[in-house]
Order: sequence, then structure tokens, then C-alpha cells
Amino acid sequence: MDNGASSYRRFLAGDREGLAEIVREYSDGLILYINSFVKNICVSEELMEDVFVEIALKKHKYSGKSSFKTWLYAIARYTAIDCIKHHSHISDIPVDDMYELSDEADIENDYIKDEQRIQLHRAISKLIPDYSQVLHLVYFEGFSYAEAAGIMRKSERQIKNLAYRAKQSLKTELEKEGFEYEEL
Amino acid sequence: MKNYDERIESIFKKYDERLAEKKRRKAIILRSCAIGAGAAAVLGVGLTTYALRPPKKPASSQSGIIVVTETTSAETTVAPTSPSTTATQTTSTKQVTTTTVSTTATTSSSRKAVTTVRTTTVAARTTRTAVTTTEVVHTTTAYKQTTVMATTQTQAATSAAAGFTTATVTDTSNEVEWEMVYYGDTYKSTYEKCTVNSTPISVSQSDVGIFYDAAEHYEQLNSVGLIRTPCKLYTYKDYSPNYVCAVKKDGEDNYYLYHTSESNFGTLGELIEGTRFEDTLVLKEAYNSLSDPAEALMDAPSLDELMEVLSDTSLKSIYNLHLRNVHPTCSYTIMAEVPELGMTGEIILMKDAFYPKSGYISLQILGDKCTYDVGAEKVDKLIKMFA
Repeated sequence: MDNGASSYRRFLAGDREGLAEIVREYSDGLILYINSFVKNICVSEELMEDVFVEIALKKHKYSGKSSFKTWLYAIARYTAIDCIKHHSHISDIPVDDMYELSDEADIENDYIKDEQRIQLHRAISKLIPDYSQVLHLVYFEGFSYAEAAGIMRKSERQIKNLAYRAKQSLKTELEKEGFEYEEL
Repeated sequence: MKNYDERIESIFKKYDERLAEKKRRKAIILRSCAIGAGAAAVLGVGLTTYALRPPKKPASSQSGIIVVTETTSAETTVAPTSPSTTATQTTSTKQVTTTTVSTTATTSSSRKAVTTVRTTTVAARTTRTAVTTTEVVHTTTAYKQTTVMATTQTQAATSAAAGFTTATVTDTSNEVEWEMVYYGDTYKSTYEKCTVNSTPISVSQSDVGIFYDAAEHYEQLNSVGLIRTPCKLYTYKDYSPNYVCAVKKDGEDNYYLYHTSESNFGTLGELIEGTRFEDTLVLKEAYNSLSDPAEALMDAPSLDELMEVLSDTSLKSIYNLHLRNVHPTCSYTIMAEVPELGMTGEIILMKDAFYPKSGYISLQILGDKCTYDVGAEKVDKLIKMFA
């Protein structure tokens, strides 16, 4: 499993379908990940496109030191942070209101099939950004602690601590909504 | 929400547009270079004519004027129409030595003084080239000199009208000329070096802990997590509406600079506890936020490397760097403009206040933030031009 690296190599060789395959594979996950920063699903979708345009334009930048997926998510993180810095008004929609946005519901339904996991995702998005990001990376995207550390530019130990505290926080959040912790 | 095909279509559309835009900008730069070369060729004829005349007055009385004297007989040089044709069309055997007579009396206004520095720099560069280059290149240099002189005259007129002061910094090792204009005449009176606090405030581990917890919530907006070891607060300054503090981690030489928008604090602990950090600048570390973070790290890049980055953002020709005194104590902003592209960049230059060991330049272009540490030597060179 090369996480899309071979598709990317094909794109570098001139086959546009290579990039299209990566988009199909990762666009949903990227949107949700970026959304944990910007809290706006429409902006997240735009930023996701920007991430792919970025990797398409700067073809020489991928060195292969990390997995392609890790590299992609690291760029997504920087793109999201950059967007926040330059457009601080983006997250002016209260988090509670976000759940009513149909687009987010659509993508959740498409990408996260299981109803319980959708509830879980929504609870995660109520957490502080660092918590929601680490949970998203580790538990939704299946990154290892080391890979998540690479993406979030933290040490592996920090990620472990963060994940632990994030789970504690998530537990509290879910209990507020009537979930039993054992169900997780 | 778009489906996959729509997303792919949209991505490739943006991709194609960005590629086309990149090509268009390259073409504009090439075109402006060609125009500049044409102007240089025209002015080169004028310079050649001027060079054949003997000076009317003794050189010592012509303060600040470049005097071109002919040391051997010269043939008429055919002015080329572009730099690329210079090497093949010119058959000149003339050797022109350019000298500069330094200002005999330092002028009272800083504006004139800096302008003199500019002239001297140009002349020194030309003289050096004349000694080391071949005959053909020599002729090319003469055209280049002409261009610079013409630019000087034009900008001097502009400065007089707008109240700017001009200065030129030439990096002799890289052959890159940075031209600066700073605004206002009162910068000297407002310039004040910040001194590092001789008795830094010690920060306990508990302070660091407070910092860690407080910062965690905002880490998506900055990189404040970089201070997670015991450190010392050296100073903080009020740059209203922002506050800036400098911190040195134990066992490290680097200083870290943090911007806040909160009120004044007595200790780092208080600062950390009550502050929402908005931005963090780190010495000796730089990144291009839209590129691969690992590969974009640049530690003290050379000017060549800097120019390489700039060329990637279509700012290859930095012939107008405008320097503006934004923070009177220790920080300056340089605006980089490429008028025909309608682009502006920003260079924030800081010195001494937080960086006793190293100078610092932050470069921001079109919203993509690139931060570079160019080292004390180059910053010194830049600072000396206006401090």
C-alpha cells in the first residue's frame, strides 16, 4: 500500500488520471480534516482543492521521506492554518450551527457510513481544534502516532498525551449527549 | 457539495489557470527585461558620447558626480538592442575607467547623504568589474552603469517630490542590488536600539506549564508550542496595539519572538497565562506555509537562494524595495514592488532588540508567508544604510 504515491508518480509522468485517483481517494477525508480547522465545510472544500492544486504545481516538492498521505495531510494543515491567518473571519459561524449545514451532513454520510461514527464525529468537532485534529488523524484516517506527529509538527509523545486528553474530553462530550462510554 | 468528477474538474481547471498565470508572469518579466535592455542601449550611446568629452572642472570640485575618463583611444561602440546581442555585436577596444569623486562635504540632510552612498556603490561596482572582466563584458558593464545612472536620476526626481529617501545596497558577492526607499525624514530621531535586559526574568517550570496549557487551545493559529522547555523572558515591548516578547530557551542561543495583542504583563507566566498569541516568529527557522514544510525549511539562506524563491513567486526583478519605518525602536518594513505585475511584498527587518546574535528578515509575498533568517552580516549591511 503506497497511499497514493504511485498515482502521484503517474501524475508526475504526465498522466492526469493519477491525480484524479488521489482526489477520489483522499478528498473527503481532507475536507473533514480541514474543516476541523476552519469550521466551514464550503471553505474546507475550496481549501481541499487548493491542496491538490498545490501538489500539482509544485511537483518537485515531494521527497518521499514520509508517506504520501502524511505529506498530503501536512500540506492540508498548512493550507488551513494559512487560510485562518489570512481570513480570521472564517470561523464566525458557531460550531453548533454547523451541524445543520447539509453539505457537511452529505459528506459525513458518504464518508462515514456508520451512524454511530457520525455522532462521534460531530462530538469530536465540538472539541478544541488540537483534540479534534489528533482524533481525526489517528482514529478516522488511521495515521500512527508518529505520522500524526509529523503532520501536526509535534513530538510523538505530545501526540500520545494529546490523544489521551482528547479521548477524555470526548468522553465527557458524549456523556453530555447521553452516550454510554462503553459504546465507543 | 461537489461530487468527485466535479472536484477533479475544478482542481484541473484551477491547475491550468495557475499554470497559465505563471507563464504570463514570466512573459511579462522577460518583456520588461527586454524593455530595460533597450533603454540601456539608447542611454549607452549617450554615455559613450559623454565619455569622449574631457571634464570641464577639476574632479575634486564635482561632489558626488560620476566622472568617466578615457584612458586609451576608443572606437565607436555600436549600441546593442538587447543584452544577448551585446557580446556578439560589440567590438570595442576602448577601456573606460570610471571613478567616483566622493562628497567633499557631507550634506546636512540625510536624504542627500544616502543618495551619495548610492552613487559610490554603483561606481565601485563598475570599477571592480572593469578590472576583472573581459573586453566584451566590459562594454556590457558600461551599459549597465548607464542604466543605473538613469534610474538614479529618475528616482531622485521622484524622491524630491514624494519626500522619500533612497539608498542602494549592493551585495558584491552575489551581484544582486537591492534598492530601498524609506519614507519620512525623521527616522533618525525615532530610531532607538532596544537593549537586552541584563537581568532576565527567570521562568519556572510551572510558568512553562501554564504556557503549555494556555497555548494549546490556540496552537492552530501559531506555533507557540515551540517554547515548552524552561526559558527566560528577555524583554517585551509595546508595539501598540501589539505586544512582543523575546524568549530564550535554556541551553540555546536562539531567541524566540512572540506577538500578542493583550495588555502588558509583569512576568512571562502572567504573559503566558493571559495571552492569546497571534503569531510566532522563530529565528533560524523558516517555512513556506504552502509548500512541503519539511523541505521548505531554510536556515540562513544566501541571497541567491532567496532570489530563487522570489523567482518562483514571480518577483524575480526586485528593483524597488521600499523601506518604511514601522516600528521606531527596532523594526522596519520593506515593501517590494513590481508595478507592472501589480504585486507587492513585504520585508520586515529587525535588529538588535531581540536578536543580539543574528539579524532577521521576514519576507511576505502575496499572502504566502516566507520567513528567512539572512544572518547578521547582511542585516548589518542593510541597517547601516539607514540607521
